[in-house]
Amino acid sequence: MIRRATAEDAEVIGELWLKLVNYHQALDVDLPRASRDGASRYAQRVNARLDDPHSRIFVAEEDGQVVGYVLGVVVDLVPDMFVQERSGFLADIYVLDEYRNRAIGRALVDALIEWFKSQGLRYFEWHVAVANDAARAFWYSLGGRDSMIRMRYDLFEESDS
Amino acid sequence: MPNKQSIVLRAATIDDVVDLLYLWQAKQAVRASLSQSNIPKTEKHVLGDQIANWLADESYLIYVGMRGAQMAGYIIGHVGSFPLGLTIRRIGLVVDLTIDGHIYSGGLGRSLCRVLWHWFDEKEIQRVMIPLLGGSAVEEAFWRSLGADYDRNIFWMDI
Repeated sequence: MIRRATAEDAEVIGELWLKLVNYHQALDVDLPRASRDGASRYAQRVNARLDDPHSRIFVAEEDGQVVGYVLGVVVDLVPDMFVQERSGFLADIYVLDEYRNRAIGRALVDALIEWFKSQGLRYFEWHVAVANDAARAFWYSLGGRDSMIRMRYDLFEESDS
Repeated sequence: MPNKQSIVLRAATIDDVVDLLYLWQAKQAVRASLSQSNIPKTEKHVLGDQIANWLADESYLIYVGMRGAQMAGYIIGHVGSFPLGLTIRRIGLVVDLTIDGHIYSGGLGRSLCRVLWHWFDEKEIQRVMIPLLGGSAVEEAFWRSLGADYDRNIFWMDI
C-alpha cells in the first residue's frame, strides 16, 4: 500500500535514508557518508516537510511496516540565469532490499508522478550514482533519460600527490 | 601559426559581462547541437544581471583569461552545500568553464582551474562538483585528465 507519510513515519524514514546512504557507500566509497546523527537529522527534515506545500513524501507499507519511501519537491531546477519553469525533483527513494522486485519502487514513483501532475508540472529530475547500475536499469525501464553527468574532484588528492 | 601572445588571468569585472555573455551563448549553441534534451532557454538580459550579481557575491568566483583585449575563456565557481545529514557539508561547484574555440589558448582551461582550486582551498572546500551535459565527450575527457571522476547521472522524465 502506498500512502502519504505522516509524522509517525519520520523516524523510520530516517532509518531508511541511512540504509540508502550506506547502500551508496557500498557502491562507491567516495560518495558522501552519513554523519553520526544523520538519520535523526533526516527525520527532522521529513517532519519539517510534511506540511510543506512544495514537498510530498509517500511511503510503501507492507506487512504492517514501512518498507520504502520517496521524497519529491517542486523547485526551479534550472539556474536562475535561465527562463524559470517549476519542475519536480525526486530527492530520495529507497525500498528495503528484501522487498525489492515487487514493483514497490515503481508504485512509489507513480504516486509521486501523480502528485507532480497535480502541481501542473511537465517534467521532473533526479540523480543516480554512476556506480548504481541497478538503479539506472530501474529508471531506464520507467522511461527516464539521462541528460547530464556530474563529475567530482577531490582537492585534497591533488595536494597529497 | 597560432597566435601565442600570452594569456593573462584576472578576476572578472562588471566590464567583462558583455564578453562573458558572448562566450556563454556560443557554448550554449554547441550544447544545443549535442543534445535535444531539456536544455533551458537563456534570457540574455537575465543572464547578464545574474553575472553582475555573482560578481558581487562572495560565494562566487569568476576568473577570465585575456589575450590582449580579447577574452579567451572564463571559469565560474561557487561554494554551495550538500543536504543536511551528510558528512560533507560544503562543496565547490564549477558553474561553468568556457574556452573560446576559435583562438589559440593552450592550457587555459587548466590554468583557470588552478585559480579556482586555490580559491576553493582557501575556503576549506574538499570536494568539487562539475555538472556536464551528457554526450560532452571533449569536456568529460578534459575533466578526467585533471583527475575528476564520475559521480552521478542526472535523469529527467516528461510526465
